[in-house]
Amino acid sequence: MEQISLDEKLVVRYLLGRLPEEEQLQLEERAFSDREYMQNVEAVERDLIDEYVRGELSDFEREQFEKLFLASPERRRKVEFARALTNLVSETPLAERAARSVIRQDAISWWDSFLARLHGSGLVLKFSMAAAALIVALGVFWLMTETIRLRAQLAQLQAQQQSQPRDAGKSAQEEDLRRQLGEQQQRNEELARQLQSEQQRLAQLQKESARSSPSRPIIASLMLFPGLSRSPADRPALIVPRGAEQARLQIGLEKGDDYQRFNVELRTAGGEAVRNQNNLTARATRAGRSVVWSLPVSLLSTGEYELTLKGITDKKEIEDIGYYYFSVLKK
Amino acid sequence: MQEVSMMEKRGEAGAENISSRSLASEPLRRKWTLTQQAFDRLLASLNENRDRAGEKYQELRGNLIKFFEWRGGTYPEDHADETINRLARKIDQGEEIRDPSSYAFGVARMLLLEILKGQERERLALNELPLAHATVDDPAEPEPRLECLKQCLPGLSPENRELIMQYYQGEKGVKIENRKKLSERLQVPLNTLRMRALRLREKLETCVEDCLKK
Repeated sequence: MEQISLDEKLVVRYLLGRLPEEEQLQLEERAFSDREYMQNVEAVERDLIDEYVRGELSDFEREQFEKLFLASPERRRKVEFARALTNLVSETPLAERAARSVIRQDAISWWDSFLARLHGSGLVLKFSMAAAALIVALGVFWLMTETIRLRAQLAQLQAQQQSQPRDAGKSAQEEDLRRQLGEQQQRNEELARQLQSEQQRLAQLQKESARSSPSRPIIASLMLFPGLSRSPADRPALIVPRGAEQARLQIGLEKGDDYQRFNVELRTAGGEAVRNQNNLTARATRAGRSVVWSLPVSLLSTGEYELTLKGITDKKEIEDIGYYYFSVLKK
Repeated sequence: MQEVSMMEKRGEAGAENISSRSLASEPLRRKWTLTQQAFDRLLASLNENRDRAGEKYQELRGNLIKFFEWRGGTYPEDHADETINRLARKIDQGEEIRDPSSYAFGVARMLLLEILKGQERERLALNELPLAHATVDDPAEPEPRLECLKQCLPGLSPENRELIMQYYQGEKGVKIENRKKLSERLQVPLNTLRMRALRLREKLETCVEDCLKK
């Protein structure tokens, strides 16, 4: 398939209404005459929406986005879908595990991969994989020892022949050894085929194992209640264990915080902006109504943090709701 | 030969929208209405073969909807239909138009200017309320949407499910790296992967909308 040349930055500028009219027309002309290009523009549009939902756009980009993308019901539906998809993807351990395996796939051997799988598999799969590995290992061991033995015998015989006069008995013995070696080579080939087949079986088992028993990613969670003291002694702490990838902050709401959408801003105690997220919604949890926000642990380091929660009114005005203080302890 | 009517081509909802809902910010001055005769002439101008003309009409309308959507129009479908109305009127009045599609985009750009001017007037009238922000009103909360998405996902094959979850995984830099690795693993060019993911996403979007209606 022909690789389409797509300047994604140009398309993003177009979608945010930042291209001069002439360039807009050129892009539209191409999109409306080339179906594949049109689909590419649509794919970039989806990525842009995802970035908005994840709070990855700059303030200026976000403003432009909201002006253009929230104008029509159809586009708002796309934004809502992106929000749901982002939540689902971040909530789904399988996706994270699979994504990690994609990234690491070229760096690990099938054996390392096998060992890793063995740790997280179910009992039946563990047994099957162990049995397959044992067959492979025994086959390889036997194959190697047999070949070494025959080669050693043959070499010994040849050495004897060179030092002693040739007789018919020795010659017959050498012939016999050569025949054995030939047969051994045939068996080697057969074993190599079996080995390949076992490796394929092992790979299949690994695949099934990956499907049936996704390992859960480590998520560090913290519930933040409204009205907590700013005093460091009373501050709740988010303990981030080694290997954690996501932090999940559950921000409790008070009665009367009946906003449709919420914005959150996270800063260090020194006032340095860490991450903003717009348009979050509240959900009913066991602890009452809360806004749940997931963010990558990589953004956090051990220290004190301040979270500002803002509500968006029906008139699209933004009101401060409250401040939440917590500390992070990375292990 | 397949009979093509205006209703069939626009769909019931589209036709109803045109007649009942005024275009956002557009002055109410539409005295001319699209007749079957004018529509037939429009189709004939698109292609001699009626079926092919129908396809060209759908393609033109789809592109016009995209145009208005990308340019921030409030009701892209209505704007597209209004553009086609204006094109059909010109043809019906006997004007010779060599390339109806190009002509339609000229009309669409003029209409867009009218719409944007109207939106600006509305904004001033509403005492400097930010554009478009005032119209954000989605009745569907994301939670039901998420539930619907969870219901729709099993409708995809396991391979496609894995593909879409991995394709949209990660933040900016990680996401790009993931996609490269994914395309290598599946042995397909990145562009093909992008198209596959888009088609799957569109399929899910449609499924979720249908689910929300239930």
